[in-house]
Amino acid sequence: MATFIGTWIAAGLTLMILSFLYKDNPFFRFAEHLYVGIANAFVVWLVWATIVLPDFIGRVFINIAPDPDVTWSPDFWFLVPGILGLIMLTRMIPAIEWMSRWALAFVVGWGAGFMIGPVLNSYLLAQVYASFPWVNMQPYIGAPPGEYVPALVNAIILFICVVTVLIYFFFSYEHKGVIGGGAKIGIWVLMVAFGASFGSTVMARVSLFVGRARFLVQDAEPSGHAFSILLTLGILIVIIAAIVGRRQPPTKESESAE
Amino acid sequence: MVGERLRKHFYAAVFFAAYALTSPVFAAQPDVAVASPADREPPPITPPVLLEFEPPAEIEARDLPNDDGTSIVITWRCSPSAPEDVRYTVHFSEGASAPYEPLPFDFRSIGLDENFISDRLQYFPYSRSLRNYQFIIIDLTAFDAAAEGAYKQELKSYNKLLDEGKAAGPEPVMHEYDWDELYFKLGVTTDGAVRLFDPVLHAKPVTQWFDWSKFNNMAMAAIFLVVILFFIETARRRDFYIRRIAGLDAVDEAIGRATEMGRPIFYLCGLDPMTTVSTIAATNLLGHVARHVANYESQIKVPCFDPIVMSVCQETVREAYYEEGRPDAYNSDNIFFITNDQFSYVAAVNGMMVRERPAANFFFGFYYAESLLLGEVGQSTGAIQIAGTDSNVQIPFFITTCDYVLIGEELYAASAYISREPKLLGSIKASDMAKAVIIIALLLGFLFSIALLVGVLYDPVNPLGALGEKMEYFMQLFNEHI
Repeated sequence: MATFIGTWIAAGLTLMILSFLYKDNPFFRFAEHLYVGIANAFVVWLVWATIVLPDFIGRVFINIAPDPDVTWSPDFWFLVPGILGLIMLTRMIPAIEWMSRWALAFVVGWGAGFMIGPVLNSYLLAQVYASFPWVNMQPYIGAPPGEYVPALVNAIILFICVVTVLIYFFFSYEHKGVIGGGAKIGIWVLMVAFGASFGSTVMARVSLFVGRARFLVQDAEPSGHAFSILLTLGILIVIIAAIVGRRQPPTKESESAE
Repeated sequence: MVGERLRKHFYAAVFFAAYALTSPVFAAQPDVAVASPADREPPPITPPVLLEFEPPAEIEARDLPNDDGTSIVITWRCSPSAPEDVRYTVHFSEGASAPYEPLPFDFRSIGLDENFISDRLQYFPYSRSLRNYQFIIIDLTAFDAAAEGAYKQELKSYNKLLDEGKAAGPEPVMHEYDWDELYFKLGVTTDGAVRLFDPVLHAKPVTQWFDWSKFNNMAMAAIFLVVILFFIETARRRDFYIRRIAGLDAVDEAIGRATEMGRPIFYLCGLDPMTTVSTIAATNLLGHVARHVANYESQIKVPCFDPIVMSVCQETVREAYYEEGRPDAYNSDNIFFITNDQFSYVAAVNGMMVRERPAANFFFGFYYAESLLLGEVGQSTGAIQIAGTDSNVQIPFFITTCDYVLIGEELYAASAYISREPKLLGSIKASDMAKAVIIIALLLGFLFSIALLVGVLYDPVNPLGALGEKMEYFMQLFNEHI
């Protein structure tokens, strides 16, 4: 029974969120605020239970999980991140608000510095290496021409795409002449890549929608689907009719004139 | 009389000896006393597939380079035998002459076509002659972990027996492995049967202070650092050209429009934390946008996904208002945290967009699946939308829903384009130089690749000889680790 009620609450909230397709309405607002509130409460609990309690309080002050086989002793190194976290709260006290900048400086400085190595490695070196046709052709050496030739063409196209896209991202040279030509090919390559990415992601989204629709149609009423199918179809028809019948959004020109 | 007694004792002794020799109890005793678990483990008959396996050559053990001194590596030249279902394994002993046992921790045996040296260049130098060598890394800390695990288990059983009031025997003691006394043998295994090869392997792990496998990273970072500093210094003396970035020209227009319409501007910094480059770029750009907003006396709202990003945004906007001489107009409540959950954040921002109908939306930073939801709702409210992200997968969604999009690195260049600060201009110029170097390296690699691909038609094993090896080495310089 509890599962049944829970499923119907989930189905109802899904429909409330979907009602945003029509326009902002009290049902959507209710679902929105409930969603944000629950998410925030969950995150607060998550941070407390998985970070603050075990990694700060549990390491410095008290043994929160006593184990007779393990001797607990405080690890005062964990005071450093704890104090940095606490001084973030000084933002609420105007007189010592400036202290919070230390923690911010640490986070931003550490982040920027720490990322130099991984970014250089994964975004630059590894990409350059993977663009060499010799590297790409390794699995095909000795393969029959039917496999070898398409792979070679693919490796050469990949190489050209990489170079021309790099040329597009030259900022301190005017896109004229050879650089202009390369940049033009580069932006076409980018658009083709974005188009392919768009198509595959839309397919993934449709699959998500199908999953949710199946949830509404099947899970919401495990025994006999007639009522939930009718309800869902009815709501979907109302939503679609509302979208079709809705006024077109005001154009930017007309808004500017307001 | 004495002879009679001696004869009886003699018969008794012969009878006892005959019984003792034939009795299974007595016969089994010596075996039980001497046998060790390792002797019992392998089946009595080694399968023919293992007996016929030609042993690999040049089996060696040595310290694993570029590590913290906790591992050793065993290398060998591949065996010409290649039967199916046979894998390499390693056994160990505590002392050169002690019996060899399976490793005391989970160890995945190595297939005949796995773990080639040429695939793990962070530990081995690149050379064509090492192409047929395989390796196994033994992490010696795993011995200690296994000993600790076994000790905890024994201690638990011991304590349980004590609690139940039963005889628990002596208190268990944790076994300590002496890393200097660990010896290994490489072997092959199939269906639980094992055949070990000579020689006995032994190596002492040594701690290295420097990981030479990342030297190419450091060299490249150092070179770029020098180039960046040079161009920053140059930018202080003369102005650099920066090509037009269409989306940024529209920023002023969008802010002006918001001012005219008396509606707010929404500025989003993405969903990534403050440690990512795109978020840093987004907050950098926020400063410039906020300066214009302060100038035009418009209103900017920054709904944040991350509390740290929120704090940075508050500082940035406040500084911008102070710089423009409008500290009174700054309202920290306009830069606020919503939630750390992706879709509830989207629901909240979309709701605000519909209710407050901002005149302009800026989506800068790193985005995930929410990009289309944000862009579409913003578009339906009629706002001018400018996006900038280095998330390749989300750029298409912004292109379809926004008026202007900064693609990838344009987001990083945007700050320099707007502010014309020497520091940022110098960085842009230096990154262009880096791209030019990369293009030259790519072209060289392309030429080498074509030469090697032609060479391989004539000599599949060693194309273009020593020159070809140098060409391969050049390309390996860009490998993740070398």
